[in-house]
Amino acid sequence: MEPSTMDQALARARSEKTLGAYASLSNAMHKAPNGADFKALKLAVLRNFTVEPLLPPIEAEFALSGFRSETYLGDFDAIAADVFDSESRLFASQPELIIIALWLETLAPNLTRWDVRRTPPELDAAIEAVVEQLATLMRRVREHSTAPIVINNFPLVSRSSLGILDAQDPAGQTQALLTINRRLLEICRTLPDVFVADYFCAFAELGYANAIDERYWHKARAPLGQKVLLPLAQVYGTMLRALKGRAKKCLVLDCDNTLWGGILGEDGFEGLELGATYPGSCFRDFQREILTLQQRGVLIALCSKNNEADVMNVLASHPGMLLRQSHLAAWQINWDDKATNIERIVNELNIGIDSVVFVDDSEFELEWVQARLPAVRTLAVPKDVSRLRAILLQDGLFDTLSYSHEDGERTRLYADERQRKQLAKSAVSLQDYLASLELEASIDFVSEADVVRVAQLTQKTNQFNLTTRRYSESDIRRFIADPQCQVLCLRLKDRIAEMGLVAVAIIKYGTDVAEIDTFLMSCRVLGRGVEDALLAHVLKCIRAQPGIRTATGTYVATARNQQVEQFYERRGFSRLTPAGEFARWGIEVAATREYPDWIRVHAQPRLG
Amino acid sequence: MKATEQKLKQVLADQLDIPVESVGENTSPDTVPTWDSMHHLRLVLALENAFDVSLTEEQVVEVMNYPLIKIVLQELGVEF
Repeated sequence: MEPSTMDQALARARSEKTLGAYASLSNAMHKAPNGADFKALKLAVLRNFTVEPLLPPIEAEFALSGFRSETYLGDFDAIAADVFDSESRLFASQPELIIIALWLETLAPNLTRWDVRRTPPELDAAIEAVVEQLATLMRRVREHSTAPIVINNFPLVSRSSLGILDAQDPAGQTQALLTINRRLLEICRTLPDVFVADYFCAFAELGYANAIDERYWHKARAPLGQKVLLPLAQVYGTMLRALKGRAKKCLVLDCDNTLWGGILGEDGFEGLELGATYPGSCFRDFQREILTLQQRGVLIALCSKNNEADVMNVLASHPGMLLRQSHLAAWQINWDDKATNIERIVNELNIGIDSVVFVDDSEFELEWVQARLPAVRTLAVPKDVSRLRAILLQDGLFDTLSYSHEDGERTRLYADERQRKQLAKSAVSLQDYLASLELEASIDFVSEADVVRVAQLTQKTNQFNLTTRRYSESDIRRFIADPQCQVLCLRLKDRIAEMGLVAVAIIKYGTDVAEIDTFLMSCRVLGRGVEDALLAHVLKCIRAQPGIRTATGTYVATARNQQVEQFYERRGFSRLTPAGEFARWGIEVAATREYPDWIRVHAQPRLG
Repeated sequence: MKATEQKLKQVLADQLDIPVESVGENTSPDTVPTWDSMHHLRLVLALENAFDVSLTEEQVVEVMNYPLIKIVLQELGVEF
């Protein structure tokens, strides 16, 4: 197949979100099995209903996110057979993502047919039995696979058999379904890397009549109506992007007619539409949504053609504003073109241009940015501003599957960074500057409390990452438990603030060689020599192992990690492989390596 | 109403994974090897999606070749 056919199929699916466009993209993916630009993804789908109509949309949605899925489809309602046989085709396929697609009618018909004589304790017992059965299946999968599991919750039934009585009954059909979903979630939370696909909300948004196809349910156990196929595929696509660290990280906002109604330079401070009444209330709701994103760890930046002092005055003192300067990670408020300004923001924040979403009301600005920075996702302010708030929620652009303490603190970390840059301007030399920061690093073996953050860093770090191996929480736990592995993390603070857990190294031991499997650092702390503190400690750890004489490290080139291409070379390692994208480096560990003298290192264990 | 005809051909081409030029009066499970029961299910869902119609149970069984699909869509108010 010509690459242009694939490009056409991709472009068509991107612009017209229809079953046809998705089917044609899925067909194109099947015909070009070795096409470049896609990452392979081994997908397993276990199911107790006919999911086949949903598979092409899922494959297309994954393709739009850059993944070529190779799907193992379990037999109809035969999940246990796959799961309880450790040599089953499921485990032989070595899946990297496991979707468990369940329909309640097949799983537990007794919970969908209503018996008014059933007492609440009997109902609870029936629910527990079903949920425990699912937990057993998933625990069993966990014993053989560390792949993330995505299991769905259940949609409401159209109309309860109890009619209006149902709403009066705490053990009625609707309440029972809510209980099943809540218990399912609670069980999932006890298992590592198990996530819930929200069928409940996807079906609710469409309505039962649109989402469920009674004809094909009876004919072929295929309950999904045509209108729900794309929304469900998008749910799985969003979850995959979140798992693979492809969620957007930064929201860049225009000000006039975007953050508020009206133009500051023409209408003036007093003339802005922003507050409790229409249309100002629409902009206020939009700002509320922005603040939620900020709390979830998204970086908020302003990019506006205005006088900076005027905009900052609105942020500081307009009574209708919810967004304040303290919520911003960066801003470029000047008369330069917006593509240039967005590049400045991206450089200042040290993030990838493809993690940016840009919102503006001007067709011209959107097209300008799109043409110059095609990796930026642009969103237009809708003509009807009551729909403004919702644009931030579309396509699950910023969606993640976990939340860590660092997410809520992220903006403050960047504000601290701005202060440090001020400090740097006043220092005479780099040495003075680094010394003036009073850096302190604590290096420890990773404990259970750090697993979420460490896995998150392996999934999200793109630039200072030697191998870019993405690990799940269960992978990290497996490494911690493995006596042939060491997982190290580094916490950093300076005189301005604590920066938290910012660097990770994973060492794997062989008989006389230790391989540095992973070496990464958050781009927030670049330029301080932190990597040298961690590398020194890694080499000390390796040296302390009896019989190990050589440390090796690998550089795997990606689109984003050129800055570490010569990392090992510059630190005295010699090259073991010929030139190419994949480079392996080695060094003798006979001599001890010292920590940089401008960083106070507290290491556990202490090593010479 | 050439555009509707073209749209219908595109739906069949997308779902059965055949070139759009090959879709015509003879297109049926006898001439298209990929047209099995699972593809029939996908095809019906895609037809409903593309033309914003809902087929009855009988119509789902009836639409077993290109001319019959056109007739059923016409019954449902789609103009060709």
